[in-house]
Amino acid sequence: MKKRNTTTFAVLAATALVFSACAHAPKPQELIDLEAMRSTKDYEAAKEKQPELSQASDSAHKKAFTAWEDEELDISKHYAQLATIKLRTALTLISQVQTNQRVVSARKEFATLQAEHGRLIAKIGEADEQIKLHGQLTAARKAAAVKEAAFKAKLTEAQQKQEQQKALAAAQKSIGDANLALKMADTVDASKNAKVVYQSAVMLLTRAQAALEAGNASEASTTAMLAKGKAKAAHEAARPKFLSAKKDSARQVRNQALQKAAAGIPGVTVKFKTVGQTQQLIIPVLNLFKRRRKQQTEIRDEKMVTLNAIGAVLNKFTEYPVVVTGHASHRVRSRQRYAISQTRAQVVANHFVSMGVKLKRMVVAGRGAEVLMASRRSRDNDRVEITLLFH
Amino acid sequence: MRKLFVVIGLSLCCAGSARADVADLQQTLSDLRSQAGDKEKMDVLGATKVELSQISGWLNDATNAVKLEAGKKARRFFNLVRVQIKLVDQLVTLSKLQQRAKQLEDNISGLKQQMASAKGQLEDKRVQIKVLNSAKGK
Repeated sequence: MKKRNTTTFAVLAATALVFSACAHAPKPQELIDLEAMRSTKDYEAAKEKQPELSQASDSAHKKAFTAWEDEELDISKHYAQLATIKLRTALTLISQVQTNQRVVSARKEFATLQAEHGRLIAKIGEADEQIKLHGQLTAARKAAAVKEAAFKAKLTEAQQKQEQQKALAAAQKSIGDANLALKMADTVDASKNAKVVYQSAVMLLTRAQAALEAGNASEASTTAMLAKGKAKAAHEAARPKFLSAKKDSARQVRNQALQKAAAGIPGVTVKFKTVGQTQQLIIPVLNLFKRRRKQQTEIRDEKMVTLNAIGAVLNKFTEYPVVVTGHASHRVRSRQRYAISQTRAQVVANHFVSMGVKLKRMVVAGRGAEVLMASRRSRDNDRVEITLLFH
Repeated sequence: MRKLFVVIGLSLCCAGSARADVADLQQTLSDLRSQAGDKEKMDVLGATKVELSQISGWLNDATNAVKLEAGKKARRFFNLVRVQIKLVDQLVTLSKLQQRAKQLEDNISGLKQQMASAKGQLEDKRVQIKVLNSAKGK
């Protein structure tokens, strides 16, 4: 049994010696690393894309492996390193191509983005410009609004001034009107004929003028209107008195003229007589008719001058009523006296009518021998008296 | 005697050849160091520090090998350095590209933010204009 064990041990030892004699030296680390690299996907890519370098690497790898098998470890290590460098070079070149593609792609993308960015910047610029324009527009609007407000204020001020001027002008016109009314009142002597009202108007006008000078147009206007009213009232109140006075004056003048004209009539002696409020200018034409009985109502030729002169006076002073009174002397038969005197008056009146004196002015009357102005039988009584009546 | 001369001649030839080989290796080493220095300067972003460190290590190993006149070993390091320098070139280019890409992407991101802000501003302004227009209408 012991002998058998010894034999088995010897066999095992011999086998170990044989195996140890046949075993390789351990692989160099460089070769191990290379083989690890070759087992990656990168190696497959290198074979495809860099075939020359891959083949060179493969060749070096084989030499390294062979040298390792031949136990030439330095040589194996050398070739493993060489193969590794070749493979790395191949992988580096592949990476370069890929990176180059990255660069190209990035450049393109960058250019595209730059263009897009440029457009964006341009759009922002446009938007900024728009906003700026809006700002300018707003500023311009504000400035315009300020100007408009200032202009409106000026306009309002100007309008107010204009209105004030208008009011002053209106007040001035009112004062002018009042002045005119006062002048009108003066024409009828209102200061005398309507003293109180006139004074009131003058006072109001003075006040209105003072208000106008003070620039108070409203008060001036109102006061002037009141003054005008008062002046008109004064005018109205004074007018009748004034007209009456004026009429009297005119009448007096006219009466004087009449008297003067009557005094100038040839062959007559004018007489004046007052009966109540009425005055009479009596023009007696004596010895007017012919002496013969049948011709007692015929006017003597030489008296025509006198009658014509009287007729001219009557035509000149048309407003005086005229009374033509015929008279007779006692030479005329008593029963004929009125008739003849009447006829005589009528004849004279007719003569005047023929001269243009209106008949309606005249009152024709015969008084017979009622009123004698000489002795009863004096021919001077055969007369006609033309009496003009006046106040 | 003749054999002796042949051996001496061959030895002298080999010695001359070895001296020329060492000088050549040193020249190569110098060139590669210079190139490595240039690459280090190029890598302003510091993307290849590890690779440049490896190059430095390999150049040191190559220097030792040249000192030991192990030309074959030195050439292996030179080969590694050359290939690594190419890798560094590509890595530097890649890092610059990546930086450019990142810069562009950052710019895009910033531009997008600006656009979002601008859109907001534009919208606000449009609302303002609408209000102003309606006010103008009144």
